[in-house]
Amino acid sequence: MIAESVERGLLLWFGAIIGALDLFVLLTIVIGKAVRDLNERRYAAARRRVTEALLPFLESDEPFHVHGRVAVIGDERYELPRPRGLVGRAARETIVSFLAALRGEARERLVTILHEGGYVEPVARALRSRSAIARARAAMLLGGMRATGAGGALVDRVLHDRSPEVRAVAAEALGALHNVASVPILIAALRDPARHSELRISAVLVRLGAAAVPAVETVLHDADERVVRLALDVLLDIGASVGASALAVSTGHASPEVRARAAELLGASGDPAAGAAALELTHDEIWFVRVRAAKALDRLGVPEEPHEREAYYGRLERMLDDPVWHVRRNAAATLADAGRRGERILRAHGGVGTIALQLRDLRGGAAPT
Amino acid sequence: MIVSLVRAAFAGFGVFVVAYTLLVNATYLAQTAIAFLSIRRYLRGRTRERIEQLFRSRLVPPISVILTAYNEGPTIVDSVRAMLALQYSQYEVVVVNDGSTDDTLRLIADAFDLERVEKTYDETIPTRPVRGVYASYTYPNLVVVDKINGGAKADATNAGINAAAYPLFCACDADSLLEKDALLQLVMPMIDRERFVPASGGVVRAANGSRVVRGTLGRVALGGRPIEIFQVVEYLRAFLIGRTAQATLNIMLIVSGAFGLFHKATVVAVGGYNPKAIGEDFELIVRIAKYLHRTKRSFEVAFVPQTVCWTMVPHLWSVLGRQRNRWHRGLMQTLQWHADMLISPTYRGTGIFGIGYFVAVELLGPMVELVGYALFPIGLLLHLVSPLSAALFFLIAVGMGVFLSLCALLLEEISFRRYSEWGDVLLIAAYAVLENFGYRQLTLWWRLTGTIDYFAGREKGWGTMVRTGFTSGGGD
Repeated sequence: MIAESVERGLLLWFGAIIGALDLFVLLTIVIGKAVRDLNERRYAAARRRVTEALLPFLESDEPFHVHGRVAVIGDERYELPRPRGLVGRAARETIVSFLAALRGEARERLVTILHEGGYVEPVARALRSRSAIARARAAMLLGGMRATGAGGALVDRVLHDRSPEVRAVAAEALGALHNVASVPILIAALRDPARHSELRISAVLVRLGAAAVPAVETVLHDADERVVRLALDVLLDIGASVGASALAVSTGHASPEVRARAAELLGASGDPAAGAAALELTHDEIWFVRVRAAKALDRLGVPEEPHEREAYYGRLERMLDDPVWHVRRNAAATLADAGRRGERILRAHGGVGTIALQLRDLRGGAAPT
Repeated sequence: MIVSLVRAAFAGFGVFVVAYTLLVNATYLAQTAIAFLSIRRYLRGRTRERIEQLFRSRLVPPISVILTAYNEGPTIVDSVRAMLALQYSQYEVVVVNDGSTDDTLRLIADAFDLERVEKTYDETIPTRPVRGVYASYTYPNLVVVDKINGGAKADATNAGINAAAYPLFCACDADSLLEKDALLQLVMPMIDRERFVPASGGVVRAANGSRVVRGTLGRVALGGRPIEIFQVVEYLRAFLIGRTAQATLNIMLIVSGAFGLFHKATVVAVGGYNPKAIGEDFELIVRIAKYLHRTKRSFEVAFVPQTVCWTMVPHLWSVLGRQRNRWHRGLMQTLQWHADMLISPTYRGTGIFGIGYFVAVELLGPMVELVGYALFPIGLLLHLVSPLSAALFFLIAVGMGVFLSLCALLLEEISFRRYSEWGDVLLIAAYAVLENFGYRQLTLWWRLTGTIDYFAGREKGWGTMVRTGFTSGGGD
């Protein structure tokens, strides 16, 4: 009897606890949904208000100035909401979304409004958030705001953030600041262990263009093959002219991927001194390096020095008998563009030589007289 | 003497039921806690930019999307169109017409300008004969394989694998719709994780009631029939809690046949899908896990909770019954075929915890519950069970069931929020309670008949399917 009442008591207790838990979860769902729906509406309304208020600042040519959160243009005056909370976030995100599409004076006005209105500081603080999403978003916003003052914090995220996504986004933000001083940091970040991060960082360096070239060239001596490959890709994408001497280490590199890219860069350099190195790479044991070397020789053109010219034609003629078809095909294409002597070699050789001449004629090219 | 023996047996069974219930519910609670933590971590690490970056990148490996179709006339054109509109840099769609007796092939041929071609078809995995391969003039990444019906989806998928050109393949049902970025989401674990990922699965949800226009899912809504909403609750619980927790613990052994991304070479190495398997998707993953453990490769079967495949769930009780009967027979067959995994140390956690979970919870659970229901009236008649205690025990079990379903709904609300309407959310919550009174017992019955059919060696197919297409809602 006692055991039965204890059993019932226990079951009642369990039942009450589980019932309370069910109710708690249900209330959490309902309240959570109500709050989120309300916030979504408030956010949308705030964005609408900010958009309407800022339109004169984008279109008008009247005198413009900002005092704290109050921006004035001509007769129009707009007080921005406080940079905190949902409405502040809506204002910030609206302005930043405008920044992505704007250029010139209108953009500078909005950047000034963000800085003077105290909108940059809370975003920079978010770089230290525990949430990777918040950190990535903050980095992106800082890049969009051109927050040069946050450069140091961004560098820290690029080098030390535990999320590869944040590292990549921070590198992109750093690139958006267009600060040449950030190039060494971005180069250091090329060693990022996450593959998609390193590709994004490479893209940032490419966007920095010529300013990044001297620093990227120094990486060509790096012991890490992956970093050298990335650096060569960056130089190729920038279209940088890299001297043969700078490329010497890469042309002799143990990795065929590096040698192939070096051959391509030699061709892109247009430097007559690069011809010897490209010629050397035509002997490479890996076929795709030889292909790139043949293409490089095509881009560099026929050397002027007689002994170099002999070596050029001689080597390309031997490449017509290369065991790999792609090599034969590219050597023939180079010879087809290498004047009457090249044409004679191809006619004498027949086979792929004849095809190369026909292809050249089809695309409208002809041997120079 | 006999009465005291019956009394002792009842008492013993009572203790067993209480202990078993506690163990199973503790397992469910642990899974729920793990699922909450895991989805929280997933949401923190997820950024939209990353997905877009991947889309632009050549880094993502190309994928063959394999759609198997048997008499899918009403949905096939919408399905193929949806597959051709996915966001992915390089992929092909391989449709396998598994000897349909309706106009499936003609409909695809008309809609996509198909022409029979002499395409190389390597029969790496043996299948029933292929009648022809078709290519599209307007969609260069569409290939249609027409084969003789093999009597099993496995055979059709194997034919798709043979025709697939790319290193990864995504197996889908023809009556399923993928969200635009589904492939991108699904491929991420294969690029990102340190361990080898042979398969990656996403969430399957009921599309009944949602609006689908030209193969694209518009507004998400619940179906109008109770049978459809019961399944919404089940799918939410199974995927957002069960699969998420199992994947976190690296013991996940199911990637749904309706939607999963696979490493083709690994699937080919284990011989592809087994056409004799009743639950071919479950059996394949178990076989892959076995193979990788034997070859001592560190691996994980990934689960991406954000990726959704919308499918038409059964809207007829008879069809649902057959489906559940088949699922249970598939479970029993796979567990029987791979019972060695449970005890062999070679298979580590996958065997003890992965297979162990299916044996202890999925296989034994329905038996214990049904025996409990059956013995209850006998106990009452013999005054061996107190009606009040039994009622309280039942209500506690119901309360736990409701708690788990509501937790799944809460997870959905704090994370992916596919159901935006208040009415839908409240209806799901209501059905989380209602399912315990009738529906749950019905699914137990189907499992029991599945068990009996399995032991009796009775082969039950899908039966006659009623396809009604997406926009009108309802299918199987």
